[in-house]
Amino acid sequence: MEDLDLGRIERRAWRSYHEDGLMDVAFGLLLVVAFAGSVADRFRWVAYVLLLLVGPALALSKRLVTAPRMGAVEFGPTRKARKRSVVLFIGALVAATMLVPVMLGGYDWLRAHPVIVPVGLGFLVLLAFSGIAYWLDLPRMYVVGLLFGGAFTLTELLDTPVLLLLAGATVALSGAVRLTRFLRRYPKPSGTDGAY
Amino acid sequence: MEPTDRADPTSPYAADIDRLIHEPARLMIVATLFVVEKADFLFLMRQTGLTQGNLSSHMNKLEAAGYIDVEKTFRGKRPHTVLRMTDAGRAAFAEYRARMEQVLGDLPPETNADTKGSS
Repeated sequence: MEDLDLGRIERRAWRSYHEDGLMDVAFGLLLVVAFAGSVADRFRWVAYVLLLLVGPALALSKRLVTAPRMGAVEFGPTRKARKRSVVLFIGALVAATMLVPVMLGGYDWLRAHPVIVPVGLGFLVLLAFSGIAYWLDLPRMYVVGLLFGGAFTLTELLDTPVLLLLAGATVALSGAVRLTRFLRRYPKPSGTDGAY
Repeated sequence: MEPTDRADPTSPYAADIDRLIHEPARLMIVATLFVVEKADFLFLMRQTGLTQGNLSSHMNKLEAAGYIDVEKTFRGKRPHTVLRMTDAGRAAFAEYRARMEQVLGDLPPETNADTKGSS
């Protein structure tokens, strides 16, 4: 009956569908582009565009890379509810990040608090990734949150964006390794010999 | 253990266990489909480790019993098979779990230790 632990079976199915590393690559590259934007102004708009595109790009790459190798699955209502929770939580965090400084005094208040603001920013980033890790049941996102939150805080405190590059490259590379393993482990079936 | 007891729907005896579900490969298929809304053939192959022929054969048996719905469509020129558990399948699996828990729960806890000790 040990094999009939349905929670374990469901979790294994869920995690195997997310072991492709695509999320790590996307988040890592986003931070690398943020680094590029911080050292060269002409790249800044690219970071904003990519931030908007990261969700659709992830969905598309799941469809083009993961589904043809792992198959397609629709998870139950609990997983769907947890996905909605992540979207709501991150939406609330983004709204709070924009509204709270305005309520506290706007740009002047931000400039008057050179330590609290970077620490708060890093904490918000960590919180966002912790939400992803918790609700999407992907524990490695806690580590990504720590790396990214730390990078944002230290970038502001030390006034050097190189940490964004280091954290982004680390996460993107670990995602690329994960993706390579996934592609080797799950080759695309030929599809000529049956009904997939 | 009277044979008549085995016809009783509340009987805990192993003879009442649904053998269609009890077969290990089908058990994995049913358990996987039980925890998701629907999955395609390839996903089930990956999760269960079964070959295409094996999975296909078990899929047909479960479909014939009315435990799963199989929807065959085409994606371009390639066939695409989606499996979903029926209400009857969910009820049968829930009953199977309850019976197995009952049967295994009735075993004395020290059976293995006693066997080792006596050999």
